[in-house]
Amino acid sequence: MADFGKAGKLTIRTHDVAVVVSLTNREYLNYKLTVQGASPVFTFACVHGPRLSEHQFAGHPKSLYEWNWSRPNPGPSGVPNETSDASDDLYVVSMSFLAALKYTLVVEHRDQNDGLIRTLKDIDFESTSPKDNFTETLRVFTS
Amino acid sequence: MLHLKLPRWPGLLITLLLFASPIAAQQPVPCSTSITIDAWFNCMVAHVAAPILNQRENTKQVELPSIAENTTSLVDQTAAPDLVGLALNLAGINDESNDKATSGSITTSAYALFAAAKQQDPLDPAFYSKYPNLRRFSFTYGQSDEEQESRATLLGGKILIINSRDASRADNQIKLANVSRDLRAASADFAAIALEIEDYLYEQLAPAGKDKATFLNQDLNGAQLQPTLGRLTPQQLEEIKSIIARRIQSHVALVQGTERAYEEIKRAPQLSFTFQSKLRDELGADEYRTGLLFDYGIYQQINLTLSGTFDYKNTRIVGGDKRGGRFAAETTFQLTPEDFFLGADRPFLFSIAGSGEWLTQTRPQYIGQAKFTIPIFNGISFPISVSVSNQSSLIKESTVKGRFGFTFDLAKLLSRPR
Repeated sequence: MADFGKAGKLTIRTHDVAVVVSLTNREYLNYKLTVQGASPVFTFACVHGPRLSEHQFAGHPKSLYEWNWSRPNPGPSGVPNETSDASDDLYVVSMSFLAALKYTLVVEHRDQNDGLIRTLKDIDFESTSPKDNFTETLRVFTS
Repeated sequence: MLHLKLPRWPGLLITLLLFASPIAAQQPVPCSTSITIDAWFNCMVAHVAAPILNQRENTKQVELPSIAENTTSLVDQTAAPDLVGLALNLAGINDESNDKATSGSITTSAYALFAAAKQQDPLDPAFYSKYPNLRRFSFTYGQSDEEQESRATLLGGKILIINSRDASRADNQIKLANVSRDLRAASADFAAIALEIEDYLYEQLAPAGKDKATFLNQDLNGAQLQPTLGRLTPQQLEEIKSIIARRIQSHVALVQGTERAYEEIKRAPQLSFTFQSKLRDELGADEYRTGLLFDYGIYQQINLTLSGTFDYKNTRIVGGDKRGGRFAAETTFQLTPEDFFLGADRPFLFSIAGSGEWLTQTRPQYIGQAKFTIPIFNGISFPISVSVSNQSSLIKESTVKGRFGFTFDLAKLLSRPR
């Protein structure tokens, strides 16, 4: 039986539902989305609207898409940095398998020195059904 | 004095009263096998959307069969697998005891070979989009043991002249962009749905004094997830469904948009040039076939394949060569949804085909075939076919031949969910 959709499979190494990020201590989140297939279709969004989609990344299509959320200082070029717009929000990564076979999502909670506080998500999403899609959520509270 | 009028079947009434409440409370809980809260959210959204989608779709599935039996994913291709596919035809089932042909062949594409030579992941999207033309070329090598002929070597190739189904094409990228647009709208609504449901679950189920973040990470995660959700009453589940229903339209649009894009890409026509040879040693006759193959999804579940080829049979007998033309047509019907049987991601297929062959020094040969393809697991199919011809190659009487085999798609096997 599929974990999602018609033929979806989840491989979970780490899975947190929520995180408390201290913006006053300059903590932030780092997202890495690795893709296998012909052409990924995905969106990073919050309850207030979509934030990033695959075509907004330089070099699309490619195998690794990386972005930060509330990084206190500019990161590497080509890595978008999204900002917080609410102290209690929910962020999603929605993925379509229309032309992709596998996504791997890694979300890290980092400190101001880019040190790892905790790996929040480390999950493989796979499907051979082009009609499948899946949305992974993370509730974020800020202080 | 109080008179009570009892029903005519008191036993039945008592039985109904005894079992009605438990039965009402035992309605199956949707998504009870979800392993994460996110899988549960996705499942619940699909559960709420299903009646709306079923109402709007009068026909059945809109998936389309492909020319090859190994392609439902847009990442694969109809001409040949991106990686290596193995077709093994086992011994045929027929009424001629001396027909015991066994053959095996390997088909690969120039793209797969190039990726292997460059030590690149062929499923790297950047690499995949950079070399679409290499996927136009495929090659086949195999061996065939035929009892009445010596061992034959199978060599062949195919060039996709019109390759309209490659996902990396610019026109197909536009279709993917439309799906991306639908996904953006649906993702924001999904986030709003998930947040509202999490707050609702916290209000309804959280122990007193536990903060929300801790409740989400402990009670809605891991082994505690299903026991926590299992405490929801039917009324609470209905409230959750209402939360989803208020923002379901964008998800419905995403599902319909995805289906539409998939159908348009898979129905697109393909034209290929093919060259196939069967080379025999010693006294066997070599056979060559070259021509054009056209494949087109003419309507939803119906696919049409036409081929016109020039055939040449090179015998060792002076003046014994045969040459001529062959025309074949095949129509394939999809009978079931893709995930109908044992979780395989392809449907049952039924195809009918006919061919005519006109060679010098030979009477015209006409063959009709009916083939039934059973998907077993992802990447493995079981085709069974029955053929009727007006004459066999050796004797001038009608023959009926059956054949079954297995096909393996290594790309699909390697990429299938573990």
